[in-house]
Amino acid sequence: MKIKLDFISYVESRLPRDDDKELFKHLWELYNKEGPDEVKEAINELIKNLSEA
Amino acid sequence: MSYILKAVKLDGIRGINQEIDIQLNKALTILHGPNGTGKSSILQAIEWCMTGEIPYMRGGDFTREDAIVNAFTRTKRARVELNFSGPTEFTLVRRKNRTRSTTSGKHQLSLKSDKLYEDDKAENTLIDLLDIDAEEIPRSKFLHQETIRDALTYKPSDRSAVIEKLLGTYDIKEFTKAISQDRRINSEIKAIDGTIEALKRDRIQFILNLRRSLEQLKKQLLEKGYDDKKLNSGYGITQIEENRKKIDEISTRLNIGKLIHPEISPDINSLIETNKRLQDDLTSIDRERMSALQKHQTKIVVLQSAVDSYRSALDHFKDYETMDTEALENKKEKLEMQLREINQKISSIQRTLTLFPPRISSYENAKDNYEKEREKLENILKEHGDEDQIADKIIEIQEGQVKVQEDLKKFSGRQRIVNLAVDLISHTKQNTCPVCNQNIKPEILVQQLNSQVSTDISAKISELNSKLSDAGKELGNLRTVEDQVSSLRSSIKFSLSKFEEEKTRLEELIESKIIETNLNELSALWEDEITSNQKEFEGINSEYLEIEEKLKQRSFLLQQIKQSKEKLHNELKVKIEGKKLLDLAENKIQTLDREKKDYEKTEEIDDIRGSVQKLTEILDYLQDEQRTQDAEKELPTLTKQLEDLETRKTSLLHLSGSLGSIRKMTTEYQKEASIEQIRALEEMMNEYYSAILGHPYFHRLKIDIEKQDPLLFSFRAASDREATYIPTRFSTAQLNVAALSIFMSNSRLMKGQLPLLTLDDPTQSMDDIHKEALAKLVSTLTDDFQVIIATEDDETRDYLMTHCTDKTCYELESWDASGPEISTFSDQ
Repeated sequence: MKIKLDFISYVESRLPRDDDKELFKHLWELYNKEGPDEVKEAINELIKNLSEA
Repeated sequence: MSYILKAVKLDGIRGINQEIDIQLNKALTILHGPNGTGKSSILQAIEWCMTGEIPYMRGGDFTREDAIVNAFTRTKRARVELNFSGPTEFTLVRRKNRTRSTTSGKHQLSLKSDKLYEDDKAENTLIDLLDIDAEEIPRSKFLHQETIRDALTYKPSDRSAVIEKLLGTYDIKEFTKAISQDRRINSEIKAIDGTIEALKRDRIQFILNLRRSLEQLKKQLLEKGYDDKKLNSGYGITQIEENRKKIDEISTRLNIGKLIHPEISPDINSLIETNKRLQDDLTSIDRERMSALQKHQTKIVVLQSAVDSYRSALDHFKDYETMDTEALENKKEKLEMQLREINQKISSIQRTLTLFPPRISSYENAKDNYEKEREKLENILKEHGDEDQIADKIIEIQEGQVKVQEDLKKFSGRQRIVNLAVDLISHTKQNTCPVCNQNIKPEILVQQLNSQVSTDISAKISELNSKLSDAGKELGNLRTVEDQVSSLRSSIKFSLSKFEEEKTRLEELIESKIIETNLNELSALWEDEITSNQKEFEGINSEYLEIEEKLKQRSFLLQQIKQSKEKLHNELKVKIEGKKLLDLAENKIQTLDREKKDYEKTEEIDDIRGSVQKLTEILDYLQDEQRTQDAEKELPTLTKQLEDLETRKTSLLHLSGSLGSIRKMTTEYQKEASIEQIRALEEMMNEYYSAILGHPYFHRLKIDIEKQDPLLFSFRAASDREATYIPTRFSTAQLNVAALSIFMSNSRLMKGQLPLLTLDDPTQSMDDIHKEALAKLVSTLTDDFQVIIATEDDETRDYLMTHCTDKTCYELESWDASGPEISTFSDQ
């Protein structure tokens, strides 16, 4: 499924930081490919990595 | 010109386990049949082929089992082929091999028009040809049973989800929910804060405290007078070496033995250990010193005691050197014999004196007893005569008794005769006497016999009985006397014998004839004799004791001399005696006393102990200093750890901020997009709502935002004057109509180049009026749309067949392991 382009551009254009935009794109892509549970898991992994780095 | 789905060919997908080829009507195709015959599978197959997904088949059991490929198919794969006609003809094919574990496994897509496109290119070509976004296909072309079912539930979040799916914002909402991880991030930040706090408090503060304590300790040492220059390990080594030397000197001087010292290492812990060893050595030396001192003291006491004893015994023995011990022994023996004889004599008299009173008492009692019994016998003989006379009297009485008994017998016979005569006369009443034949009066005769004759006889019998009784008594008395005389004669004989015996015993005790002795004077005589013997005993005994004492004293002195000499010989290891022995012992005592004084000195040991103690304090300080320095080496690492933790915390805060910003934007988008979509849909939606006969009073549908964060939509229905929540006023059929209205308006809006509508069981819960209304609406829709409807409901099928002119109906009649049976239905 193609990513809904106006949604992506809407959110990206309103996020002030580049890394936030990157994060959003990455998560939205993951959601479309794997679904919400994978997104949650990816964020948990990220939190874990940041906590234990 | 738009595209039409002409035909669908499917094999091994969902409930279809054999190849099926269905030609679709360009206007309306009806798939009719009971539940479980494969209607929905056909619609799902079309959707899967176009989108690669079947909605509602995500997560849960669908991640553990393949729900796409049919379990009975021989090919073990699913294949769907869609043939489209329109501006260009093309065929879309999607395949998937069966996997054991998941629904969303890998599948292949191909699109063949003038050329063949595979996978992503096929998908992009499809989107380009149909002129519609990929995500719009599911919500605009396929109305699922589940969508209608969810629209009819009483759970607001599920109803809202239906609206979101139809509006195309459901995924955005799910995405927004998925990135809402603030609680987890905050928990991690709290944990990091805890670690930072613990590091600061437990480690860094600990190290700072160590340094403070060290400075304090140093200050105390300086105040005690320690030199700052001595607070180093070099001084410690020098001091340990000096103390060792001193200890060795003391050890040699006190003859304690050589101590073994380990090598000195400059390491502080090793120095502490070495210094502690010195303390142990000191303790050991002191213990040895005390032990030696104790031994010397004991030896001096033992020697002095032996010397004193030996000297004293020698001095006293001079008095006994000329004594004739043999003569004294003989004399002592003689005196001893005399004493023994006197003692025996006294004992003999004392024995006689003791036995005399009971013996004389027994003698007098026996004599008295004998005399009394003899007097008693004489009195009886005097009263009754001797034994022969008593025997004659007894015979005389016995003869008298015989005579009385004969008389008694005679009178008893007479009385019996009288009684018989009385009985006879009384019974016979005879007037003549049976004895003398005289005339008699029987009553008078009986009376005379009873009163006179019988009375005389009875008196005689009584008199005789009395005589007999008196004779018996007298006879008893005489026999008693006879027994007494006999008994007394025996007793007198015994008493006489006893008397003779006691007399003999007494005469033996006093050693003379009683008749020649004055018994009353005997005791006084014997006592005088005892006194006289005792005086003689005392005189001899005094002389005896004097001799014995002399002999004993001499023997004691000889023993004392022998024992003390042996002790001195043992202690001094010599065999001399007399004055020479005494002089040697005195010299030895003086030597031991001098050595003892050396062992008593403790000043040097105390000095070294003081020095070791001071060094202990210095070394403890140096050990603390080393620990502090070691701990301080950790500080950069700890600082780095703290910085790392702060960085992690900042990163997490940053992540939290980023996710918060994204969430805010996605929520805003969802809201804006939903409102925009609702506005676009609302008019069209209400056209359909009216056409399928919505609520008679609330004739308009509204979609409202119920809650902002997270967004929650609600269906509402409105009249000209008021609005209401649909579930509270609407029937389930009306709710279904509302869901269909939204879907169909959505389809119209996102028609693209494929005006296709698939409705899976759209009339569930509807009554006949609504079913017919829907059929009528479908008949108008087929002007613009290609419609495929799956239904199990006969009325729905019939209404559609009635109201729609261009239509094809397939009957799916049964299903088994070989697949569904399909036939074409005709209303003719």
